[in-house]
Amino acid sequence: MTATSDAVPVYDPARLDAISKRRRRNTAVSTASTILVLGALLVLIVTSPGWPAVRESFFNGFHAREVLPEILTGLKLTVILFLTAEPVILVIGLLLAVVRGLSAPVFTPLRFLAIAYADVVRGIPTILLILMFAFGIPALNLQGLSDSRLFWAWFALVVSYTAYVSEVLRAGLESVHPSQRAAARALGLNQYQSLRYVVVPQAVRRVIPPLLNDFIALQKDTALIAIVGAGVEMTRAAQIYAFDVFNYTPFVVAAFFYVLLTVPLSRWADWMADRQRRRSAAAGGGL
Amino acid sequence: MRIARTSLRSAVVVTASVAAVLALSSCAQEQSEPAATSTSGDACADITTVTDGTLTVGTSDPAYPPYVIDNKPTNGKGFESATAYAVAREMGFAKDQVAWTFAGFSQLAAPGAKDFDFAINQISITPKRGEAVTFSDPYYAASNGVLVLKDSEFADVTSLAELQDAKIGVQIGTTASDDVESQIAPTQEVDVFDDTTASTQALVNGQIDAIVTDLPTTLYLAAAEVPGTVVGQLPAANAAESWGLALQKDNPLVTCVNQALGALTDSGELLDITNQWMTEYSDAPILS
Repeated sequence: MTATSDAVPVYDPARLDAISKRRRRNTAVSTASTILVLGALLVLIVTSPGWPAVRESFFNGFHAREVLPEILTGLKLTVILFLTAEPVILVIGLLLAVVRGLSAPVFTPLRFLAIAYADVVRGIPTILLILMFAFGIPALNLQGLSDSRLFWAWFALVVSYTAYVSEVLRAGLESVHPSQRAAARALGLNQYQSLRYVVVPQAVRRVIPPLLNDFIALQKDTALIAIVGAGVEMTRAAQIYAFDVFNYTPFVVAAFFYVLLTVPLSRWADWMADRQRRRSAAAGGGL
Repeated sequence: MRIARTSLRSAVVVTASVAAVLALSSCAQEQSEPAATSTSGDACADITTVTDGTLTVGTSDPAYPPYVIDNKPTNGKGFESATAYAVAREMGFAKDQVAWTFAGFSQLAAPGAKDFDFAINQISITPKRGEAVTFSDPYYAASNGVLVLKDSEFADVTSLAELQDAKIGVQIGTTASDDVESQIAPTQEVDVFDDTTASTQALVNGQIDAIVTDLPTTLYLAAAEVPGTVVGQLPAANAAESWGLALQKDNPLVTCVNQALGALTDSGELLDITNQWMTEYSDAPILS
């Protein structure tokens, strides 16, 4: 097809034209098919005989408006809970991950403790941890410990998620090529400095997607504090109203706000990861 | 040409999937027609139940005393178990023709066919709930009681105002939280629990000062579960908290159920059942 064997094909105008025509046709076909399929699904839903009842039950405008103030109040507590929990989880999780990576024999007991923590805590359902901490610890009547179910439920969430996050971070640390550590040592950095300036930054960058996964899961799991009546966060606020009027719409409203929290976070994390990738590609690294 | 064939293939795929979706929509189940109501005087002459020949009753699991004893509604013991069997008998179902199933919030609120004929579970009749389910006539009118620990600073209160500084716990899905807000107006936020197991744990731990829930339950808890005392009951709310049996919305069976309840009231049997199971759980000074 090309005129000469060493001409670069992509600059051939005829070929360029064909490529752009194909792109436009693809866009048209994908748009048309998306509209058709989604439209058909929508038709299927709204013409089904039970739809009016489902709409009344799940998408009831009156109840949505009535419950909105309580949902927003609950949203405040939800946001406070996960915004205060996440930094603690990340810091302690990183500490645990680093401890597990320490190879010197003198650190063996610490390593065992970190392993035991990750294994045992991941094995216990978060709900049980919340019940045990929020009801059990105050019942011990120890001096100086808070009585507050809200605090201990928050604490149980932190304990639970730290175990998962520490494993994610450990995977990130292990994925950094050993040559990085070797190079850092060769440059004269000590153990702490090579971790701090070379290994950990790369490790964290690599595991941003799974870390974000855990953060998003944490936002929903704040709802578990309701099991000990610790405070009315968004899901509980929805549930209280829903049980009062026998309608599911409050849950749909709460779900909407949860999605509102999740989507910008995901886009931001993707953008951050992209930016890091571009930076390391530009530096000619690509690690 | 390669391009044209790819387009054609994707067009075929899209058309086929749209056709499949539209074909599915024509298979959507039709709602079954409700049974025609009887025109004769006896509303229970020609009834349809979820399972032919059986009356299915829904209640919670676990179900607590004094409403159900030992969490076994089939033994007929307990106020709601006994009432259900009496209503069933008036409707024409013998004791062995009654089946029990679980009816929690989801089963009550969900659109679509219920798998029980009526649910009995201390469900307060409210207009808003009436939009989602059909209620029978009331079978009991309950007030709310206030339960505190025997050695609590609130153990000697005689008025609502003295409870304002208490940390109060209520159960979700009850009208207690509304009554607490309107009649006590506490200074601290009211805690909402899933069930009395959780709220009594918090009470025993000293994490809350008082539990407000229906009076029979508070008296039972004080007698059997916690070292507590019921300081009194809240004055009856203006929309008196009557409990009703909950049926599927617009279920014509409600006419038969109401006839049965009416017969039990007229004969005095409902009062006997109430006295048998609820007397020790229905007396406490009214706080004001």
